This record gives sequence, structure tokens and C-alpha cells, in this order.
Amino acid sequence: MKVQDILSRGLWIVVLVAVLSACGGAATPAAVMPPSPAPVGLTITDVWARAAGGAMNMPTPTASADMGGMDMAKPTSAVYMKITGGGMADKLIQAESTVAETVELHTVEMKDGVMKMRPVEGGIDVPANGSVELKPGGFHIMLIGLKQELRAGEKFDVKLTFEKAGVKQVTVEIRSVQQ
Amino acid sequence: MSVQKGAVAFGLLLVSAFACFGCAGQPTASPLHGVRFEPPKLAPDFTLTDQNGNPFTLGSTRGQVVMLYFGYTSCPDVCPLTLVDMATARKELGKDAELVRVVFVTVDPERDAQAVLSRYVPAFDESFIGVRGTPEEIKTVADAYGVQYKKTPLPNSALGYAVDHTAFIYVIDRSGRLRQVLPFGTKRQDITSDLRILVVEGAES
Repeated sequence: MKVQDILSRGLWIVVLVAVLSACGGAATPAAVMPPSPAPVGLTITDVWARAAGGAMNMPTPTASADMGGMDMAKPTSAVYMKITGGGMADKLIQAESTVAETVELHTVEMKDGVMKMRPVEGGIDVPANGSVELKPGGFHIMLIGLKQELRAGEKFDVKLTFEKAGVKQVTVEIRSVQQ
Repeated sequence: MSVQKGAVAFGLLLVSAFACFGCAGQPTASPLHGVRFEPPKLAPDFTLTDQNGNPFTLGSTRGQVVMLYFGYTSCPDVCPLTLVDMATARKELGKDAELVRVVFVTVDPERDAQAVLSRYVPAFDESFIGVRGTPEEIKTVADAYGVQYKKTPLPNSALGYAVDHTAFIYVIDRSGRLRQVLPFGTKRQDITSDLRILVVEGAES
């Protein structure tokens, strides 16, 4: 026991000396580490969307060909990404883009084999020092009523608004549906 | 058989099939990856209208493996993902791809007009067939397969409504028998592997 005590004290002394000598060596302010590093901001990676046809590609429906689709489905697509949080929890609350009439945050739930897509209430949580993935079968940014065709290989911008981090602009890579 | 009974029977089948995943080494183990129909039954036949306005009868695909999917074009996520998976799996078969058909039945026939289907479905693979009909016709076909679908109003979305729907791929063999369903998320290579097995199996005359 005594030996261990001595050893552990000895260790403390070694640590103390090491810390002191490190401080002593840091005579110039430039070498001093900041006491608490500034929190690293959000990082957004792997931003992509599925290629999809735009409204201009839609053939004009004729009354005879159309069996009651007065309000025809608009072309849609979805944007995916990985958002890694900074030092504090944040929330993605809005997304905007000029490529679609409407941009919404959606999620997909799967229950007993039935797929349910719903708008996200209140935003998508980004955990502090963790990450949230917007990926197929889960959270996504839904583009409703595409104003232009999204061609594979091309890019477009999406403006994301976070509760704390504010507005972030990201570039979306369009990927082929025929992979 | 009434609609409800059909759905219930289908549900039971799924439950028993999932339960069986737990019993490893059973003699019933199959190289197929989905939830199997035991014994396989003839796939309910139907005639709907394809994206070119022509009648399409499921029975006309006899001799080919069919992957049947119920979805809607405003679905931005699960449906296109499944269609991409089916397109990829089909292509991986090389020349045997011609023995595999993919049929997409819209459960949103009001919005998925013929023009919408003709823009949407072939974009995944030119051989894909998109079919629609009156809401009543669609209901009959969906019920026959035990597919659940329901319009759900989304007052806070520009979509207006979503259609919650069963997201299975129904796999029909070359003899026209319903063999299995592949749940959403089935790996592409597993789909390809199953298609290979069913193509090689051939058709019973």
C-alpha cells in the first residue's frame, strides 16, 4: 500500500512538474493554448440529391389520356446530407432552394411494412459533438414542384437555416437515378 | 375472400415468416431473401393502363420474373430508392435482364396521370412499366395483394396529402406464382441473387 501511495504521489509530482515546465516554457503569448478552444461549428458533408425531371419535361396532358388527374403530381426530389454538430446542440429548422417551388423538411417512418412520409415538426435535431444523417428512408429535404430538371453530375445550392448556427449555404451534387 | 380477411391472412403469413427467421437451420431454409409465400400461390391477375395509355395485363408477363411495386410519384424517397434498387438488380443480370419485368402500380391515380407516369417510371429503366386505373380499379388490385394504402392529409405541406403505403416488392416467378415479398431496405445484391435464382428456375408449363 505504502509503495503504491508513494508511486501515485510520485506520479502526481511528475505531472505537476511537466505542467509547470510547459507553462514556464511558454514565455511568449503566442505559444499559450487558449484556455477553452472556440467551439467548432457545424460541418455539413456528403450533400446530394436524386436526379429528377423538371416541370418543363412534362408532356401536356390531354383530356382523353388523363383519367381524372386535374391536379397532377409535381416532380419531386430529395436532398440528403450528414450534419455534424459543434460544441452545442442545434436544430435544422428550414431549407430553401431556387430549384423547387417549395422546400420542406420531411421524414419517413416505416411501420409494419407501411411507409409514411411526414413533414418534420419543429426541425431536425443536430446533437452536440454528434451527427445526424439525412438519408434515404429517413430524414430528407424534400423538393416539391421542381422548376428545373435535376441532371446527374450538375449542382445546385440549398440554404439551410439552423436555430443557433444561423444560415449555411451548401452545394448539392445531383446523382443519377440509374446507378 | 373479403378484403379484410385477405389482409389479415397476409398479415399472419408475414408474422409466421418473420417468426421463422429465428429458427436457424430449419429444413425450410431458402436461398431467397424475402418473406416467402408458402406454398406459392398464383399472383392475382389484373389489367390496368400503362404509361403509354395501353392496357397492361399482368398475365402477359408469364415466362418472366416480375417485381411488382405499389407506390406514388410524389413519394420522394422510399419509392425512387426502391425503383433504383430494382433497376440496378435487373441490370446486373446482363442478358437475362430481359427475363425480368418491373411493374409500378400507382396508389395515387388521381395525381399520377398518364403523363406523370410516362415521365417518371421509364427514367429509372426504359423497360419499367407504370400502370394506373380508376381509384376503384387500383383498390381492387391492392386488396388482392394485401397492399395497404391510405391518403393522409398534410395541412402543413405543399404536397397536400401523402399516401401511406405498403413498401414491399412482390416477386412473381416465371410460372406466375407469387413467391415472396422483399421488405424495404433489402440489399441490392440480395435482390439480384434472388432474381438469378428465379430466372434459372424457369417456368413450369
